[in-house]
Amino acid sequence: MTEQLQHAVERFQAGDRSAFNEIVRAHQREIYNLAYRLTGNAEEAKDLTQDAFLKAFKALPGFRGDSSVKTWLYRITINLGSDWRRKLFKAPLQLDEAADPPAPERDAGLALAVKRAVASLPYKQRTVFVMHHYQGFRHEEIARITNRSVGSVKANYFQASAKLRKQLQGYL
Amino acid sequence: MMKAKHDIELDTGGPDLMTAVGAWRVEDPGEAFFATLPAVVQQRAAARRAPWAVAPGLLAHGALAAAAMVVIAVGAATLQRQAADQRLAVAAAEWSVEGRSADGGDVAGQLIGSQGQGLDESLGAAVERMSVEGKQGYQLLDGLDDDELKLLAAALKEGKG
Repeated sequence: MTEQLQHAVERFQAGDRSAFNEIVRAHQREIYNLAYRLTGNAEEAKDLTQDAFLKAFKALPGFRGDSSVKTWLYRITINLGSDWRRKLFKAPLQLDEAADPPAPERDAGLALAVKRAVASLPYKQRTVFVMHHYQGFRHEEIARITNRSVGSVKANYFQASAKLRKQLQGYL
Repeated sequence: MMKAKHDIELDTGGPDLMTAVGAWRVEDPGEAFFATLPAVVQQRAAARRAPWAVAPGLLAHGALAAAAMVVIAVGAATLQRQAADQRLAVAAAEWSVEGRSADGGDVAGQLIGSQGQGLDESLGAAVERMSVEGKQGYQLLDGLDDDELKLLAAALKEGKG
């Protein structure tokens, strides 16, 4: 997969714009998932996903391959998510509360509580928690993607976990 | 011995918290979103690359209308300039022939039209006439606008020099 994507990047940089479609197809679901966890809203997540790939499309000619395409896409999405959050700083987070999949009452209440609790985390803590817990990245990988120290990432994860535990104690 | 910062045992939340946070599922955006995403991104990228004048939508109409307005404005300014040159030439010609004809207006027109008297030549005559008539000569300038007056002033300055 990695070699195929590397080949797609080279073809794109040689002028074959259709090669970008392969990159989108390979990563669109995980980028959408990340966007959804960061925004808490499907429509916002769709927009953020589109914007992330659009930015990647524009920046790909200058992509030097210092990191993997996947790492690079995650970095773009997190940075765009930060911009998006900054714009909405004064506005309440638009949580898609009615859109969760049907579930038994207690589970539905817990899902909503988790969504609210994660959304209430500061952006850095939320990013680290989402990437580690939901996306499966190791702290070292998160540090590389977000261009921060491993210690800082671990501290953010610790703080996020403590806050979530406190907010969700009624369900634990 | 103190532990290094990154060696501090983390609160991983414990299995209960990890189980609880798993209750929050990602809302599926629908297969259509993923099926069309590559094309949508390419389309948006192409739209940004397109020249603003031919991009679809209201902007294009506005831009074309603005371009048309510029063309009209330039055309109008050119016509106005030509009319101003003509008036300037007529005024100068009037001065140049006034002493030679009782009804100088028509003669001036004829001079410009039939003899092809150039603007420079007319201005030269005007400069000569104004230097003779003094302040009263300037009353002939009523029909000229600011630009034409500036041209005359420059010509007068040259003539005196």
